[in-house]
This record gives sequence, C-alpha cells and structure tokens, in this order.
Amino acid sequence: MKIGNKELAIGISLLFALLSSMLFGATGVLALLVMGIAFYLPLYFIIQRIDLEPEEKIFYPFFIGIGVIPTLVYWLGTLVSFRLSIVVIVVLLAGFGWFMPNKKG
Amino acid sequence: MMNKKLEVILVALLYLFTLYLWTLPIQSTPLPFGDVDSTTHFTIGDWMALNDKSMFNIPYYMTYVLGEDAQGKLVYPPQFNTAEAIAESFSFGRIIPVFIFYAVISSLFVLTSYILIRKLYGFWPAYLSSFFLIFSYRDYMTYLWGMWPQIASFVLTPVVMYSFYQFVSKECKKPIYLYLTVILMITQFAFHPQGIVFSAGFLAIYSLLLIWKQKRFFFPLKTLAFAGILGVVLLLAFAPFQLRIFANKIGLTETGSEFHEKAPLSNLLKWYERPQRNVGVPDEYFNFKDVYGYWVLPLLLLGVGLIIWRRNSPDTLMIAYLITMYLFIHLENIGFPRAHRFLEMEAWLFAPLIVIGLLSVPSIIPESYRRNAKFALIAAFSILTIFLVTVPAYSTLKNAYPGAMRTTEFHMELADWMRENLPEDANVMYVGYTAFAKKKWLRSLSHRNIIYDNPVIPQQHRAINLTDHVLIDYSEALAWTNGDEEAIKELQNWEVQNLANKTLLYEHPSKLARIYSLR
Repeated sequence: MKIGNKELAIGISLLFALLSSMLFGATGVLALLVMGIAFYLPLYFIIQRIDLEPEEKIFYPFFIGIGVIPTLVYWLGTLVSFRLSIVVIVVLLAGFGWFMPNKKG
Repeated sequence: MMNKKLEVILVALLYLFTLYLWTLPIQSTPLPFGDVDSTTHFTIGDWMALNDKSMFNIPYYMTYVLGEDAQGKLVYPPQFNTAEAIAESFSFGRIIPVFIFYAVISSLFVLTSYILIRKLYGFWPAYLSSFFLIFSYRDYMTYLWGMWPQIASFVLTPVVMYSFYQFVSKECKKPIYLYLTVILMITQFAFHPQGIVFSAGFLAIYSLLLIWKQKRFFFPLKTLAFAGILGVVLLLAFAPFQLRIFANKIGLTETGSEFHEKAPLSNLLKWYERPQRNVGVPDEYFNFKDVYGYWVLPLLLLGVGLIIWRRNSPDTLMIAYLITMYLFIHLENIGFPRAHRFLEMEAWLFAPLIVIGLLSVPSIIPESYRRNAKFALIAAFSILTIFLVTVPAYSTLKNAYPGAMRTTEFHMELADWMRENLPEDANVMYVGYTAFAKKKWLRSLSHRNIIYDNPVIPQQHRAINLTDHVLIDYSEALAWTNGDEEAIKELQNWEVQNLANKTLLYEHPSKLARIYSLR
C-alpha cells in the first residue's frame, strides 16, 4: 500500500490525538490540531504540487511551514487581529496550494 | 527492504513515545518551567495571543528585559514567538498548548535526524540512532532550561543537510532542493542565528570536500546566484529589523561584539574541553561519560574509522558533519560567543556514528551468520539503551522543577490578578522568598514590570526608583527559609513599617500575599 494514503494518515493522527487526549484531555488534542492545521496543512497542499519524492512531500510541509506561516501571520497581524491573520494566511495558502498546477522539475 | 507503510507506523510510534517522554515535565504539573531566557521567550508569544495582535513595539514591562539593543522594538525575529502565539491562540488554556509546542519543537531532532540518516544509510541505522537520541542528555537539558528558540533553529540542521545532499546527489539538476535548503536556513536564522551559522559552515566544508573529490567546481553558478537572491529576499521578509542586532553580536557594528577571551591552543588537540569561564551549564554537560556513557565509545570510534576509511557518498557528508562540529565547538579558540552551545548537536552526529560502528561488526563474521548477528546486536543495543540511558532521562524529565522550584498555582493567580487589575505601566516590587527564575516568571505571566533581584527585598534593580506597587509574598517563605520563623517575622515587620499606611489593593484569600499601591 502506498504511504501517505488516507487510512494511514487518519490512523496515525488518531494515535496522536489519543495520546494527547490521555495526557492532557481536550486541551492537548486541540493544541496538536491547531499546530497541524496552522503549520502543516497549508504547505502540504503546496508541496504536493512540487516534483519531490513521496516521503519528502510528507515531511517538508512542516519544516517549511514552521518558518513561513509565522512570518506571514506576524506581518498581517501588525495590521489586523492576530487570530484573523492566522485564519486568513492558512486559508489563503491552503487555497493557493489547492489550485496550484502540478510542477515538474 | 522495509515495507514503507510499516516504516511509517514504526516512525510514528517512535515519535509518539518521544512526545510522551518529552511532555513528562507538564503531565503531572501543568505549570510553566524554564530558566535563563525562557520567561522572555514565553511572554512574547503569550502577549501576542492574549492581546490578539503582533508585537512590534515592545510593551512597557519588557523594557528592562530586552536591554538597549531593543530600542523599543522586538529584539528577536518574530517567527518563534509568533509560532507560540499561534499554538496558544485557538487552544484551551495558556500554558499547556504552548508547552506542548515546546516539547514538539524541541524533540523534532529525533525525526530530522531520522530523515537524514534514513537517506544516507537506510532504515536500521536511522531508527536505532533516533531511538538512542530520544534520551539525549544535552537535548533534554537544553529543553528543560528553556532555550527553545535555539533548539528550534538547531533541529532544522539535519533537514538542511538532507536537502543539500539531495541537490548534489541529483547532480544539481533539481534546484528545488537548493531552494529548500535556503528556506530552511533562513528559518534557522529567524529562530536563532547559531543554527544558520552552523549550517553555512557545514555547506562550505561539504562543498569543498565534494569539489576536492570530483576535482572540479560542479555547482551551476546561475542556480547558486538565484538561491543567494532568494536568501536575501527571504531574510528581509523574515526579520528585517533584527539584522542589526545580529550584526552587533558578531562584531560587525560599532556597538561592540560579544566575543570573549580566546581559549588556549591546546584545546585544539582535544575533541572538546569545558570553557574556563562560567558558561552557566553543569560539568556533566562536557563529560562524555555523563552525556553518553563509555559503553558507546568503542562503537563511536569504529563508526568514525569506518566512514573515514570507506568515504563513499553518505560517508563524505558525515565526514563534513564531523569536521564542521569539530571546528564549531572550537570557535572558543577565536573567542566566538556561546560556541559550547553547538555541542547540543553533537549527539545527532555521534548517535548515527555509534550505530554505523555497531552495524559494521557483523561484517567481520562469516556471511551465513551476519543477518542473525545484526539483529542480535540491534536487540542488545536497544536493551542497553533502555537500561543505561532511558532511566536517567525518564527520571530527569518526570521530576523536572519539582515543588517550590516550579511556578505555583498561587503565583499564577497573583500574576493573573496583576495582569487584569494593574495599569500596564505599573512597576511592582516583589518582596518575599522564592526562586529567582520564578520572579522572572511572575513578570512574564503578569505582563507587568516586576522589580526583583536576588535579595528578599530588592536593592539594585534598574527601575527600583520607579516602584509604585509592592507585592509581598509569604507563600514560600517557610520552604525557602527552612522554617526560620525569625526571618519571616523580619519580613512582617518590614511590611508593617513600610506599607501599613499604603493602599491595600489585593489580598490573596490565603492571606499569604498582598499587593499595595504606593501611588
């Protein structure tokens, strides 16, 4: 079975949710969810469109997202509400990735 | 060959266990911890999350924290603190989400090291060395001290190496890997400049080794130029106002650098030696036996010998890593500030070398026994790791900042009251017995300028003459005076003499703390 398939991703996410729920309750689950959505998801959609190896498409989004997302959120957050800025940046980047054409090389 | 799906599951389980272990400090006591600058790192993100805006000009209470370098502006590039604020913004609670973020970011080297070593040497060397790394003494101590931005910067180093390795191993025909290298390095700069300095050193040394091996300069100049331009543009976007401060630190401006006295040349003959000046870390930090245990030394030497003897493509990267590490931990010899901090990454180099040494052992026995011997060695190494390394790591993480060493619920309540009721420019003198770091935490949690120093009654704080409120705290007096009632009486007398006719603003229900206004 191909790695990164939906079942595997959901299974692993549930494992992490279960652990954080056992250790920290809903606070823990929500904290991991927020980090996943904010730092991983937007860049995940973008990096899927780039010609990289399959496992690289899984790990690069977080390492790139952890620097890029806070940068954009910070600058927008100097103009508008910080929470609004998080939502806008996440939605814009995820949307950009969703509609971005596949890139080769 | 390892089934990919099984590998993903095994890696997920490895990291799940890592997270369990690294969140131990907040599992039983969900209260903030950390020393050195941890309170500053926490409060910037916390301020952004609670005030729902990015911090551009620093709030009043941080004026005496960030020093003259700041000139009223945020002294650090904002990425790390913004990431903390993001983690806090949509979560329940102020402490747990941020400390989960710290645990995640601080333990990421387990994964980033796995990614690099998996590419270079395959599954078992990567998995085994990452398992060993979970319990890495220097890493969990740095995490417990609260040097989170530095760790966040360092943990990206193996991915920087991975990206550059991919770039050169694909004969420089996929520039995307070089661009990813650049993006990651700029992120390192934004988190803490020492990360990018190390990565840049590694890239230079690795490139020189490759050019020497191939006897020609093979990097495409156009791609390099574009990567350089990308780096400059990103640097300006990531942290335009903090570049000056970085330049100060490395002595490029007139305000003076942090360079200190050079270490003696004899240091160059040793892998490492504790600096003679006080660098604020315990002796164990510099002791191989305490950091790894002597049982891995023969394996490490075997691993080093093997990569130098073999010198294949992955080995060349590891040799470059080894040379870079040697040079950077010897920067003390030119007086480079905080060179000892590069030691935090030493285990990420040594653990794979130890495992490479271990897994080379079966090659000396007859081929028919090699497979069984390999798995016997893997089992033996894992068992020894569990018995010799896991137990102290578990104990240290579980018992981190016990009892009165950690900020208490009581102090959290005081801080909350001050944040909600005192003016933003209040100057609150802290009078009472508690740990020095906890006084810093009071400031960070209350978002108010707390005037404190080592003595029970502050004497030397720069803002002492501005004091307009006094917080008198008896909550830990018994613990910190070993039950000395005379000392407590002295404190009570001081309160009567100095505060009896001042306005009492707040008294904790336990009657163990009061806040007075002098205005």
